[in-house]
Amino acid sequence: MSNQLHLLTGAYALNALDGDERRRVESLPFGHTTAQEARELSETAALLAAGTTPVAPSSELKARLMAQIAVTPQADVAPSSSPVQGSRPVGEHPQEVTPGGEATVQGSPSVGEHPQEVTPGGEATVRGSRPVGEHPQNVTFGRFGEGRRRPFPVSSRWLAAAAAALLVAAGGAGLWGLRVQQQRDEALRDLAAVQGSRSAVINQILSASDVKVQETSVPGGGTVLVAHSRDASLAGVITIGMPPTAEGKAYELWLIDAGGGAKPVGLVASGDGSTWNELAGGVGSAAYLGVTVEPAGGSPQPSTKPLLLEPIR
Amino acid sequence: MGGHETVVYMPDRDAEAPSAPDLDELMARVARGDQEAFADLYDGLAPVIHGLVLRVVRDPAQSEEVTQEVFLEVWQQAKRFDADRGRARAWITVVAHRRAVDRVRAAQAATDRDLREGIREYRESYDDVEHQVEVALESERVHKALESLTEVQRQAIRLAYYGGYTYAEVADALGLPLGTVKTRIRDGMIRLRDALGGSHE
Repeated sequence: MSNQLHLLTGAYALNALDGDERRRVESLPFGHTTAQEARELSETAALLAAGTTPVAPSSELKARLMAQIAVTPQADVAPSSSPVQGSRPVGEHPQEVTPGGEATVQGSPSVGEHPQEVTPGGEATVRGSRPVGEHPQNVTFGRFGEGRRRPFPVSSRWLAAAAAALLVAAGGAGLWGLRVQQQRDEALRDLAAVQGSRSAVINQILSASDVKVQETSVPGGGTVLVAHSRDASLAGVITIGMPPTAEGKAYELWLIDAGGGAKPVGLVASGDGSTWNELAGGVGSAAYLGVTVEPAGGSPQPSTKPLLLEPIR
Repeated sequence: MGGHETVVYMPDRDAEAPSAPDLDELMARVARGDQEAFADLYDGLAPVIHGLVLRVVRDPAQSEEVTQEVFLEVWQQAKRFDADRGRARAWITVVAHRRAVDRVRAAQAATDRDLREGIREYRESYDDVEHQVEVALESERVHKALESLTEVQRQAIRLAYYGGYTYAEVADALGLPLGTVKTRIRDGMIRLRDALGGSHE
């Protein structure tokens, strides 16, 4: 039948073949005349899209997509037929929101159970999408790109992903204009759900009826998010893209009461990327979250002017 | 198809704003994980892509799902797109059409709709739309190229591309032998290729 296959190139380009025929065309070796024609006619078919009336999708669609891509890893270039499990090295993570992408945690007491162990296999995805590896369609990209599709390596640096999703969902980067608290919370919750117990803290915070998520830009660069529940006595701080501190210095977080008394609540590694600090015991009666630059080991009291003094709602 | 379509010239339409090189450049940035570039790429292409998806799928809610899938896939597969070929728009359109058609077929299988009835309705609604549509320059070029085809070629290509029907279904609807439709589609597509040029710009 392959002597008839070349007659199918037009129908192939229009996606008018049944599954079997489609597969037969797509199994032709690259460079085969019929394959070449099929590809050319596919490009021609793409021009037919201009014969339809453009319709802008709802703004919610963009919102969902931006939240999705923030937590969806990109497939690597190298074609491979073998499924790839586990995660890529940390530094390869593509999200620009976390340049260099180190997810680091220091300082606060309960910190040890967090990000490093989160990596293997942890899948990050957002409601409304299928899990990343599950797309059933095959090959579509083979015609234009390199090689065939394969299961995606799953990146799981959940902290960076969570931070990125939060940031995007909060509109903090000014990428696009949606400012809906509920969606931000949902994005976080979805992330928490797929991360299981390791994100228990975020999940608990978000589940609290009095949850608050505040986001602030730090003068000089970076973003700080504070999520807390007074009822549940839980709180956490995410920083994103803070500029590197000088050698031997670190950012220190403080909970500051109305009278100005400051309690150290954690050190944030210098360097850009995303960090997470749980604030053990929550924000308590603190009126402000403060951030200062301190010697790498931390200080008992703030020794520099705060970069940030954020009223806690 | 009546002989008089309403053609409105819109020389500088927003949907066309990012020119092809810009889209390709954005695509290259997306391949490096640039979310802002993805947002721009989306802004530039979403109306065209969604319009196509909506045309094929027709159900607004399902169309949004498909459009979402398409752009998510663009993000996931961006590194594999060979930017040197300079065809980001064509690439994304091909993906969108494939997914839209797959969605229609799945829905079709689920409801076992009457094919002839479906095609009749489709053609009527298509003709309705055709007379109201504001056609942009690019669109006009496509319509002109389609008009240069034979009636059977044009009907078959339209039903297949915009309607999401297989060529076997098209043959059934047009009351023509399979082999005839197959070759008419191919001949018509080759003629379009020669008239329109193989790739976008």
